[in-house]
Amino acid sequence: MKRFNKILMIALILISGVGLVVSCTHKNDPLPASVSTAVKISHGKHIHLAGMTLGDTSQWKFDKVHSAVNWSSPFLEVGADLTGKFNQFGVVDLKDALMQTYNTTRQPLPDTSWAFYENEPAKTHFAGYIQTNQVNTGEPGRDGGCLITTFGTTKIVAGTQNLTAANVAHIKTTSVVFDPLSNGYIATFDFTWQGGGSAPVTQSISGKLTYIPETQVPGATYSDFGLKLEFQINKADFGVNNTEVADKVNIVVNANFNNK
Amino acid sequence: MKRFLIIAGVFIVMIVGVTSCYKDVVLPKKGTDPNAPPVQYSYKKDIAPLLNTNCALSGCHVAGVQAPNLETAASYNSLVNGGFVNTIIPSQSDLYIMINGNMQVHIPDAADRQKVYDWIRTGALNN
Repeated sequence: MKRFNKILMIALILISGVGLVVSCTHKNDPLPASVSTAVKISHGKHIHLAGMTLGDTSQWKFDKVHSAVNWSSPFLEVGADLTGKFNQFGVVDLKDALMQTYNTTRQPLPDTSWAFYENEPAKTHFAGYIQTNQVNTGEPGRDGGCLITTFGTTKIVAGTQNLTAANVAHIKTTSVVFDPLSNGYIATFDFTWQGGGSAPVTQSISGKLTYIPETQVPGATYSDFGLKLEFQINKADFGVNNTEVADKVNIVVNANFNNK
Repeated sequence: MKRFLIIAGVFIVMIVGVTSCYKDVVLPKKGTDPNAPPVQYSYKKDIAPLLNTNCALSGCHVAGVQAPNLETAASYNSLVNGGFVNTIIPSQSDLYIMINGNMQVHIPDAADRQKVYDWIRTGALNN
């Protein structure tokens, strides 16, 4: 009987020991690490400088025909986006002396107010404008009607480019820095627009600038690169207080350049 | 009797041993690092109640007083379409700037402010 007790005791001790060892890992159980959302950032060393000399591949020309300035804002402040673009725009630092009406249907001024340094954003700068009476939402009645009134400007006069203060919104960078959260840049610029007011208002705005690197165009002897600028404005800040669209207006500039 | 005591003792040791063992589940700290990967939040469940409770006070961010209107039924449109939220550069959002500036006193918990920032960083959805 004593022998049985010993065996039973040893067996129970072994069983409890095994149970203890198996169940007790002494390990904490942290939640799985979250998926890394960190962007791998790398910048090349491309430098692009503006020029107008055709055939000089060291000079980069603004390709207006293949660029666009698009905007969107929720319809009636609550719906899906109403979208549009501006047919006439340029890459020009629009100083006061240049703000006039030009008798031409082509680009009225050289689109050379820019420089891009991929790895030295402090040297990158640009300036540009759009003509508000060249708004294009695909509805001629709206574009040549109520939007002209909303923007406080005058209708297009055939054969002219109207760069007067009441008809342009223009921007000029004050700083460009690396975006720590993407492979792009944060561009801060002065945005000037008269809008629905009686005098132009200037506001400092930041946007996301993306560089689409220089690449030789397939089958061609020249290269192309792109810059994309995305930002938001509050139209009420510029005296446009209607409710046809929301105050928040998203603007996306897609600019292409080539060295033809 | 002796055998019973031994068996009972061993059982007690075994039960104590087994039940005293556990795994700690280590939960992440409440986020307050603005540069950490954003956490997904629900506007309706997490953000709207926070703003309604702390900001839609009488004479403050309610209809007809100070924009944006942060009453639950109106707050999303008032914030997002009113231009107070910038999903392109979230840190430039007026909402984020205000709750970390003059209005911080109304949302004193940094984790709550981070919640708002993360909601903007994840697209400011009406979810």
